[in-house]
Amino acid sequence: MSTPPATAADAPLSLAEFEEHTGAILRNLESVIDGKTEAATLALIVLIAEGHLLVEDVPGVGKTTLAKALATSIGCSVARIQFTPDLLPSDVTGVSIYNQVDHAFEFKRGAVFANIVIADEINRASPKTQSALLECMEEGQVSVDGTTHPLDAPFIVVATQNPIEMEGTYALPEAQRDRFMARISMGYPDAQAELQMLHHRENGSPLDALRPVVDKQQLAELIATARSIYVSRAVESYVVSLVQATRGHPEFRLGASPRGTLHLVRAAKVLAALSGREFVVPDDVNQLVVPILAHRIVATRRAASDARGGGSEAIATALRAIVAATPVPLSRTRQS
Amino acid sequence: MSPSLRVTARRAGKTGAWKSTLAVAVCIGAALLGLAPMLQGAGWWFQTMTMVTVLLASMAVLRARGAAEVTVVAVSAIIWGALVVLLYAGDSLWFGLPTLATIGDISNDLAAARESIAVQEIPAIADGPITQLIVMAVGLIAVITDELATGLRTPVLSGIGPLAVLSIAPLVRRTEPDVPVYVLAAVAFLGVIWFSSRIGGRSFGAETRPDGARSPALPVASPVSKGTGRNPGLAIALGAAAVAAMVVLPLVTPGLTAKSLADDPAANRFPSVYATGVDPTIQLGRDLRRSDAVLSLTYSTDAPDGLYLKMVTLGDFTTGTWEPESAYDGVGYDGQDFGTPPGLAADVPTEDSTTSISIAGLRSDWLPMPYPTRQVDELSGDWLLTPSTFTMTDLQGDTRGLNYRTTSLQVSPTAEQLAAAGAVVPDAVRDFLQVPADLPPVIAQTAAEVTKGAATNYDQAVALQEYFRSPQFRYSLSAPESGGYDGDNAQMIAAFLQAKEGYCVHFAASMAVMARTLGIPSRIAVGYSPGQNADSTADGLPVYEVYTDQLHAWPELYFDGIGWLPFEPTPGLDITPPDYSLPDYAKAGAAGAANVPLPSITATGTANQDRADTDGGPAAATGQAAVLEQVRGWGVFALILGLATAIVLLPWAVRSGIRRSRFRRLATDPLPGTLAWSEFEAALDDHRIHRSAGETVADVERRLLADLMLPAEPLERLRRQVEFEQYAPELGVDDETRQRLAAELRELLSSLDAQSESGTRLRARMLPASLWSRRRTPAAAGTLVP
Repeated sequence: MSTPPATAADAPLSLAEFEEHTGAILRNLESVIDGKTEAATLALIVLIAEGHLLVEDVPGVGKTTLAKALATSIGCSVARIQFTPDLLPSDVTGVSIYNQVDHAFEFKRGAVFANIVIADEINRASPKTQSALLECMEEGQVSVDGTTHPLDAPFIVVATQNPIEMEGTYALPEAQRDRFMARISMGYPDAQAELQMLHHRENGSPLDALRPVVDKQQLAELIATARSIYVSRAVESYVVSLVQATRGHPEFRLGASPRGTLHLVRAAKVLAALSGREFVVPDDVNQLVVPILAHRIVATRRAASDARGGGSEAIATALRAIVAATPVPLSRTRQS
Repeated sequence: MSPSLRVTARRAGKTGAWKSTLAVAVCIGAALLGLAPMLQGAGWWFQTMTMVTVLLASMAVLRARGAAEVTVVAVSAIIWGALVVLLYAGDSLWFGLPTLATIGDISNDLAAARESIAVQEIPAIADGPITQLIVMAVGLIAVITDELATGLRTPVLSGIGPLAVLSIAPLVRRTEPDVPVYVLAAVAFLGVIWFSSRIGGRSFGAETRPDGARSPALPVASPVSKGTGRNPGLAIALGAAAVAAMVVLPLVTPGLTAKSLADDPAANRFPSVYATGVDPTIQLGRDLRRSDAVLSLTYSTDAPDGLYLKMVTLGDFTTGTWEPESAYDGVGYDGQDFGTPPGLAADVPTEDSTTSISIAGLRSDWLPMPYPTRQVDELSGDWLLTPSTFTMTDLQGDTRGLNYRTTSLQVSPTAEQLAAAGAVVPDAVRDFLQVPADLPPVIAQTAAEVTKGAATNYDQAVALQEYFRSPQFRYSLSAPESGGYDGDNAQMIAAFLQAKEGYCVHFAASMAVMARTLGIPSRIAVGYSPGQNADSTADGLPVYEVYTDQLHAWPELYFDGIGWLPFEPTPGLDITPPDYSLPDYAKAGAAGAANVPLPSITATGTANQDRADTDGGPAAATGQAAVLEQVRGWGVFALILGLATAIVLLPWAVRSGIRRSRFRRLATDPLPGTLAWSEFEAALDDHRIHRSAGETVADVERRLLADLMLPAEPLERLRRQVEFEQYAPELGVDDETRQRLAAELRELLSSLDAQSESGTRLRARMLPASLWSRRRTPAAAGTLVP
């Protein structure tokens, strides 16, 4: 369950260098979406924790802009797939085409062969196509016609989803949502941020002015550094307590998966590194509980109908209650 | 939260509650032992503890099933009521339902308990009504105590209950508290505090912050919640009830009732019990020391003066405790003539007198009668006559309300007859010469010295009485008890002869034993001295009133040809000794005087309403005794006050000790930051700044900084140190860090104090909540932390 034993000595970057690089990426992100530090930070965490990100919100709040800004900030290949009902799995993964000259099948790579894949409005595609993408996300490779094509690392899918327009969409099933490390909502900007946005966009899209601040090699180093962050036994137990509390919770029909536990620890490590700490504290964990676990959980019908904001709000409230009630490890003796 | 979840949560919140309840049961049981010196037997203890156990067990079961506290209290109160009705008023139920008669029954029982307590001297017999009162009161106290300790988790407040039970004995007896019982109760009470503070590791909902505010990455400070979060109103009401019980219980117990009874003419005024199985002389001393003298009996007689009314004789001095003659030697009495008194020859002048006795409040196995009575008329009940002593008993222990008439002899031996008795001892009374095997030699020596030069038994007896009535002896009710020679054995007599202070028991026993050493058969009579002339008449005869403080003991000496004659060695009671016992009578006899005056026992002419312990002896000495008594009272008061102060200051002292110990350990502890944080959190608990189990150190820091003006940097450094110690891979703390931690902790604590309102600060000092409620347990139940 725990990450491979890595120590600070293995880290390719010092925490100061880590902060320098991540700071540059964050500044980039914030220059294009105003007033969304939280979403930007989470996106960055998912990127460095080698997870995939699900951005779920109403149209026009900057889901795609965030995804594009993240991709642009890293000097690596970016692909964007606009999901539509008629999109085929082969459009995503690629297709073998008979080469008339060579008299052999030749693999034409699909859109998924990139370091950062933006899957726009993923819920518009047919389940079959969704599945093709989700398979790539989990395995990090594409299998077509018996041949396996590995995907280039780092590989991150940033999928967006529109929860409002449900007509003609195929919502991601629970099992597939579980593959995303985190789900974030952008939310509307406040008045000041919206004014600032108007000002920024006066002379065209700020996305055009965005330049990569981190190259592929540096991203790999950031990832390795985050992996080396120490997680004590006490904090591991704390994570397990939190996740176990979601299972069998009276308001949940389905609790968080072991993959959720894994993702929570990985994300917490990045958050610790972002805070300039060589070790994870419970605060790192419990701040990430809602974005990392909420989308994996299915509320009971009753809880969903009782809650004001529907199922996801009920889940978030219950998760916060679990966090508030789970004792934080604080021991008078040190645990090995 | 769904109802079922609420029950689950409450159940989870009360894990270990039964331990606290068990500790309460032990504590009540221990406190109840404090009543043991006041009551005979142990049945009352077991009955009460059965009630307590049933009540507390039902409370524990209800809690284990997740019942709300209101339900727990309500149901246990109903169980209490049902048990009381079933046990004590079962007859009055109408198809299982209580009726008005039920209430009447129980209030009658309580009135009977009050009466019984008022009537009895300590240690009282725990009869039905008394046991019922204790069972009811202590059952209620147990429920209140457990609710305070386990339900409301205010164990310090819950101490009022056991303290109320404990304080009865010292308040009533006005003696030093029973130290082992106090220690036992205190230890059990510490157990209550201990277990009460450990109820429930985690609980859902209950400890969730109301807003549940915790947004990722962007911390939202929620207000620091102050206040108990419990139900202070309920706690205060229960505390008041406990105090009320504490006040009411002593009021219905003896001692303190004296005044209220005296002020209440409707209340019956009863004298003391003359219980069997209890050392009668000790009992007599206690009865004499009672604060309130009440009417025992009245009589009217045609004898020229008042009469001694004898109830019982003590003849066997060889055993440890001098006991009355066995009633089982008696023969059933059916109005027959008693016969000639033992040893009385026909030529001794006698005169019949008739006495009508009516008993008011005396409770005794024995019938008070003049000696020697020839016949008893108009007596109801079954009675046994002991022919050797002319005493009568019914073994029922209750003579109240009896009216009867006695025909008795007034024996008036002449001086010649007395002198002629010589030193002859018939075989029939040889038993009355036996002395205790361990008799200190000083007694016989003193007897020989005092009677030097006396020729006959009679002369020796007169000399002995003269000796005791000489000014060197002083009447005192308190001296023997405080001097440790109260009682009726040989050692007591030696001590009494040394101290020369005592009351009738000592004089009578000493004279009787000394007479035996001189070869005069003797025994001790116990009964009433003649009492006061009531200035009224019945059937033309003067009426005498006899009060409890006229309980008396006097020696009877045997002279051949005359029989048993009473003597009066006790000085200072305004009782005139019989004529024949005075030296002048003996001399007159020797001079051959022919006049034969009737021996008279003169009752006090003036109404002697004073208490027995003040009606004798030099006034100065009496004053001294009173002062001593007062000093003793103040001593007990000071002791109780000191104890109360110690109890009040105990939490503060313990808390200060813990804080000092933590500061000391900061220099060596492997995790000094965590230690400092524990102390800081304890201070937060003391100030009633509550935190939920799920709050991290940083959460607490944020909330404190948002609400209070605490120094931010020391707090942040403390938090970082805690995080480092708890979660970082490697550990190393240098001395500089330790010193800095100590200094900054002091700064934080004093800042916290300065931020609080004065009331909160005082409560934090005197009632530090951290002693009994810990928000954070190091490894709370349900976590996986090993």
